[in-house]
Amino acid sequence: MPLLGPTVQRWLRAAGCIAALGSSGCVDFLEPGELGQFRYLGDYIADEGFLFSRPTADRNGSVYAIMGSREFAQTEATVGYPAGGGWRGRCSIHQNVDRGLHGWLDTSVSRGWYWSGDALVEVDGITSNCRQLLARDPNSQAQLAFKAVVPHVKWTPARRTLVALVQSPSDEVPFQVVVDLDIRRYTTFEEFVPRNAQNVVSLGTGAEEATEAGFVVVKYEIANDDAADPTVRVEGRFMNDVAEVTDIVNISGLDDVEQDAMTGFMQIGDNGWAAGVLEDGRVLTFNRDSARVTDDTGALEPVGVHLWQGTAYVVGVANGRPSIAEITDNGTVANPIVWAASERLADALNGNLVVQDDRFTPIRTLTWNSPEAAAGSFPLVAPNAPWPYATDTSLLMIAGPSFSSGGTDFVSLATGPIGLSYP
Amino acid sequence: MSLRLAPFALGGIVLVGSASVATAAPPAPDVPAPPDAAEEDVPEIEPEPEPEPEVEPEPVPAPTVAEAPAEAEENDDDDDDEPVIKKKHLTIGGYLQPQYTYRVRRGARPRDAREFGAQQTRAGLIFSGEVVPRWTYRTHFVIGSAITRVVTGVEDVDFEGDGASDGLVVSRRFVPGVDIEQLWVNYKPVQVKNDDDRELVAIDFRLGQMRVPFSKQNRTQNNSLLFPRRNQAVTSFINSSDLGGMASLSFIDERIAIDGGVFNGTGLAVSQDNRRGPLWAARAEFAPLGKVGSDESALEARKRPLFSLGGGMLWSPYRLYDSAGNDTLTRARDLLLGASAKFVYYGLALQGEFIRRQVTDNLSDRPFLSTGAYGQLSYIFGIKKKLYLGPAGNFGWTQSEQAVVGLDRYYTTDGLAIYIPNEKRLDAVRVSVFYQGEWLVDEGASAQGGTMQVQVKF
Repeated sequence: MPLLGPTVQRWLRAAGCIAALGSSGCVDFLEPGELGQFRYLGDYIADEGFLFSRPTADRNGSVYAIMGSREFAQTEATVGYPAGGGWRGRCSIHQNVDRGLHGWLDTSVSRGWYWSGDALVEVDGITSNCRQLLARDPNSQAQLAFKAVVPHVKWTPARRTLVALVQSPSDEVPFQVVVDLDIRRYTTFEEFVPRNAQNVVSLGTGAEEATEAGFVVVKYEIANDDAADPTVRVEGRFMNDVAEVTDIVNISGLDDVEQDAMTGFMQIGDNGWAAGVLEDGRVLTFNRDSARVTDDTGALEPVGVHLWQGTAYVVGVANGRPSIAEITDNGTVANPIVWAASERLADALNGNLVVQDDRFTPIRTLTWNSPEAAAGSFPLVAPNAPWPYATDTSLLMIAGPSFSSGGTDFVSLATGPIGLSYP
Repeated sequence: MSLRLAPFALGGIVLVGSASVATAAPPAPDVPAPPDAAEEDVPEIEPEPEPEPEVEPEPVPAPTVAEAPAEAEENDDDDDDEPVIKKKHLTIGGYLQPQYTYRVRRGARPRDAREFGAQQTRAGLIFSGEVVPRWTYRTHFVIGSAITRVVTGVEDVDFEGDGASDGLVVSRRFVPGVDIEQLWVNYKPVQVKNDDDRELVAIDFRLGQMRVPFSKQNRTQNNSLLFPRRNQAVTSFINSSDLGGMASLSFIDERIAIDGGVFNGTGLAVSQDNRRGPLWAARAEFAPLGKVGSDESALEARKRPLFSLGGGMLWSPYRLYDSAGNDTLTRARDLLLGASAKFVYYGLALQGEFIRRQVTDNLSDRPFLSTGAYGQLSYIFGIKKKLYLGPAGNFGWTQSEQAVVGLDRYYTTDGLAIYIPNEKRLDAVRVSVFYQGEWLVDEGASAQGGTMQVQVKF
């Protein structure tokens, strides 16, 4: 029995609100499906191959947006200063023409990090400067490739680190390293095992809050002595915050997939099951003991995996409506249900939307007619999970008016907060 | 019965009972005895020279140890007592606080994993006085060998060793400096006393730099803290004095005290360069059994129980400008609320505070929410003539950025203080040894260690 009855609690809350917030009211967050104030981001090439990855925000409130492609070596990141301070910087650092944009990894107080191709890039949320981290090995000066990066930055008041797999052209296998993001060096490293592995590639990565690190799905080959075709292995590898592999689970049925096969970052729920959606629509789930590949998800056409309050969901489209399916405690994909928050957002966008253009002063407002989600057929139905911007609130990038110039089509983009909920 | 108000005092003040003339006399010394000390163990108090009364001199009762009420203190901002030099126009006092700290930080870079040294050493020099009746002033300088952090160099660095510049590294170090803690002038236009010389009503106006009326511990001066530093549950929200003006209204020997003012807002723990707006501050405190001073150290040894309940509010509506100085059209509101309780009885002192902050604006839909609280406990007792012990402990908690992913932090400081009195005060010398621990739960970091501080008041 609670110490205070509900009536007393209501009165206390009301009294607190009145006393505390006489002129501002109690703090209200956006309702699921509600739109906040969108800010004009800029005009970008309208190409279906372009990927408008999820916007993120740092603790200071700076918003980070990135545009790129999984197929093309094109990336452009920009920073929206807090509270309408304008958008600055157009960072285009990318490495390796054979790989595309992976997206934002994480943010801290005033910095964000993205992974594009083989490049790990830091973007400063105050100055909007960007720089590639560890482009070369400090010892050998060999060019380094970030084969896999766990999308989680462990940060304390003293330091910020993340875990990655890096490899130079002369290395037979990659190294598991802890990257100190402040001094821009790796502080610990461990060679990939088995050391006779060849063609080690990453299929996807994910973060795990509990370990302050995450996991990587790797594919590699072991040469056979009889000159037959090499043995292909696919494994899910869990790593801790000092880049040690703590658990390995074998994954079968994915010998045919290629590097970066996951549509977005993978997610792991509180039930211990990690999940990712492959580009061919299959769903991979695994925990520290076993793995399964789900070929048939019924009516659901999977797009990506999201994490919400400890539960991982496969999001996609079913019967022409945004849908969502939970990853169960058995690692299976539950029956999809309609994602109401996505539909409400689509309805909210279906009208006139006032967008603030704070790119230049004086700041002005524009009205966009029926903008759409910049990525995906429905709002939020995207490969990467929405960024936790505030309580039950995330960020959405929308596409507004389009125009042609010099034979190229352009589209106007804006970013803003949205109310969010999962079933 | 007589009644006199300052020449331009506010009109319409209702006076109750037999009110007497305000004399603008300085507060009586406030040196109660520790509970376990025999009467002869209590340091003798030299009678203070009485200032010349303005009109109708009335006898100032001699202070009686253990019964000298805390309400003799004029204001929370003035809680240092018995300075070494005391004249009507100039009083000089101060304190020295050498401090040595050893702390181990888990999760830090190896270079920063161990912190040791006496860099937190500081001293305070306080000048105060009454230049003409009702007009008082105070300046309080804090001096330290490592108090001001300055940029000592900017280096071009090559993190990757490839010959190309990767950026700039700014070197900073702490250097000797002087910080201003208080710098104000106070005018007391109204002071109404009854025939027993009890203050019924008083009004003060103060302008300059001072501790804003919000948090009880934030108003406590450096040399009156129970622990070497303020609790981080307080400094996470407000961490210094501020520039502004304040009006104070008190009733019945400050049993009811209401302070309000407007400040620049430079003392807030979280601020931005491009915000412009005033900081309104208010605090009310209710102490039915008599004013409970903000002094946290040995002077809490009352022979009768006292308690106070208080609440404070900081309110800052502001506009945000971009780095070029243009209006971003963003209107924000910064609100802090606090509540405090304090209980002192026979050497036992209990104090706790709760603070809540929320910053909202019309653009981001992302409120900045933080909450913090602390509690502290101490008990002072004498073990022999002129030696008193005071075990003390506190525990603080903050959760910041609750609207995003809340960061929980816990703090504790526990240990023992030894008080060596002189003829002026019980805490003339204080040697304290404390264990200090902090756990940044969501950030995977912690720090533990010890600190020793010697405080000498003069």
